[in-house]
Amino acid sequence: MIEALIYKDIKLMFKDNTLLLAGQFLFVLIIISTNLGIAGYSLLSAGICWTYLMNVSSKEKAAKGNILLLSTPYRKKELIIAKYLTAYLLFISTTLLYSGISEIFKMIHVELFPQISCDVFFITLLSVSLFVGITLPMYLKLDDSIIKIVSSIMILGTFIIGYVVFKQLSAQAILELMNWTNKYLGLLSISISILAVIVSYIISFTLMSKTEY
Amino acid sequence: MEYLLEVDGLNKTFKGKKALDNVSFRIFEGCITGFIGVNGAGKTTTIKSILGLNFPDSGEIKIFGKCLKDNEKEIKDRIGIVFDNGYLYEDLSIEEMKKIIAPAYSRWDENVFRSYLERFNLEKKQKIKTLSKGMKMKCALALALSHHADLLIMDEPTSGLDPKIRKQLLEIIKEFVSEDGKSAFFSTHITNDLEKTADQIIMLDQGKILIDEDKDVLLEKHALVKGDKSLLTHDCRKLFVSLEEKGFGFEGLTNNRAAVRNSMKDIIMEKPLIEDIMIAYAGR
Amino acid sequence: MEEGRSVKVIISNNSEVPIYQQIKNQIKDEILKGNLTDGELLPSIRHLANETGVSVLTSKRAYDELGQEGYINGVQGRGFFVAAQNMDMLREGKIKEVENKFSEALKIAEMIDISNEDLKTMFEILLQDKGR
Repeated sequence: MIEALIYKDIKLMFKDNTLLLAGQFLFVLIIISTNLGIAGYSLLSAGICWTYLMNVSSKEKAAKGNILLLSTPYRKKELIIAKYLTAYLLFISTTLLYSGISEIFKMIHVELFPQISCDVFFITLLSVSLFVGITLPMYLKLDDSIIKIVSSIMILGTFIIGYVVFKQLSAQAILELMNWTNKYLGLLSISISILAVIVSYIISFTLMSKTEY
Repeated sequence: MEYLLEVDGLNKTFKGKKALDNVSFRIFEGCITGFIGVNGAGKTTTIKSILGLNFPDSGEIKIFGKCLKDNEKEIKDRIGIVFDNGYLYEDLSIEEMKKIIAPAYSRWDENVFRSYLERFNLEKKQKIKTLSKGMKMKCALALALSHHADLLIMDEPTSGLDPKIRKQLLEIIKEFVSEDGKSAFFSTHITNDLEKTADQIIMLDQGKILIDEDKDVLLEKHALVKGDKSLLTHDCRKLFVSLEEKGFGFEGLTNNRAAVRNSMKDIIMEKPLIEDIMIAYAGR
Repeated sequence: MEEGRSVKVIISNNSEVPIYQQIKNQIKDEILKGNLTDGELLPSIRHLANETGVSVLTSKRAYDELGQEGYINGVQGRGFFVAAQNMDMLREGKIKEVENKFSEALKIAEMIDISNEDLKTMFEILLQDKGR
């Protein structure tokens, strides 16, 4: 049953939108990747989740889709879990797509899209998890226009801050940081991600249970 | 006859106003129940309470003899629901909409769905946003009737529809309840639809139940009365639910036909329409 | 569930007789006249309601009371059937009614001294008029 809900979100996001999304995808891919290397991949991942939550939320609010769904045997927890699953599905698809493109270009000896290293993957996973974890419950409570602004700030802000901090750190510090994180990055990333999703889910569920129509 | 739906002592306050005031009623098996009242009377609020979409301050709701809270999934599996707007996703096609809704129900029947689409002249590839209001309602109805539901609940299904489509809809509702163990419950302020279709009439006004009766008993109890003003004695006035005096005559609705027949002579009595009754009772 | 064939029931909205009563009376008549025969399946409650425009609660009440009065039998899951032994009982009832009417007529005849011969002649003429 959850598959149907994931199907719903994918359809709502991509319906009549595929070309536009593909265009945006390529835009970010090309412009960012050529200038900021692998950061393009991270931005894409966060971006697609942002687009997903934004698009689907506005379409659902327009249709008051929740009212119909809540009248069916679908449970609240299924509706919410499906959202997280869809977000991760999109993240993984983006990762695979990017890897695929990167491989293809590598094969034709064009170094345009750097490959995804483990570190980058885990950092991106963590960022996406935190991002989705924080904004998803917001969609249940707040107006879309506010969330648009808040979430854009979140992505760009994090990105800018991270980039600036990275540039400021001395080479020494970076090496030390990379040494330390290499050992624990994977573990940290996954556990914090899981924690973020769980907390986010609890908040979302509580919010949805209290909502009256 | 079994009760398919029992509502007891429902109270709900919305923003300081009492939206539902001790609402209690029962829906029998095999019955078509018309839930009437002017806009804002609380009909939609009641239906949403029944579906667990809002939380009453107090009261009990039992569907198929079970509490909604503890058996939500099981109960909703047997309810077919049609909302005024359909609340369908505009961008999707009918087929895509079905792919979302169908898996929720354990008794979804694809053949039944297809046959309804055919009957309603709907193509599964059609986009919801291209459908007229009437077609949207039919689509919602097809979805509601394709999982062998036992209770059909509809909120203003006929509003904004032309008489021909309304007639079709009512025919289908009648078909639906002709099978054992089924009931239909729909709210409307177009009472004309109920004259030939409803078995039971429940009227809500400002959150309170004013009428809860077998349609025929209701219509036989009441009468439209016209006559000369001089006939209106103090006692006679008490027999009327609504009374309008114009010039030398009066016009009114009584809820005690027998008494009026006995105590007033030279009057004209007519069988009322449900609409006359609703208007007379509303906002009293 | 099988559908019984339609029964001739026409409701008058302006009558002072309650609708359920009208339905009862008309079905009773059909049974007594023999238009509805022993064991025949009557239309379902819903079917009757649809045809006459009344509520199922009304048609159910009519059927329930006819059942109580012995005219019909309700079988769970199958519908309502004209009760069998009625025909003889009803026939007996009607025969009694005819006897009573005859007695009444004879009483009146006695009051104004009509002779038995004249009575027989009267009766024969009536029978001929009846076209027997």
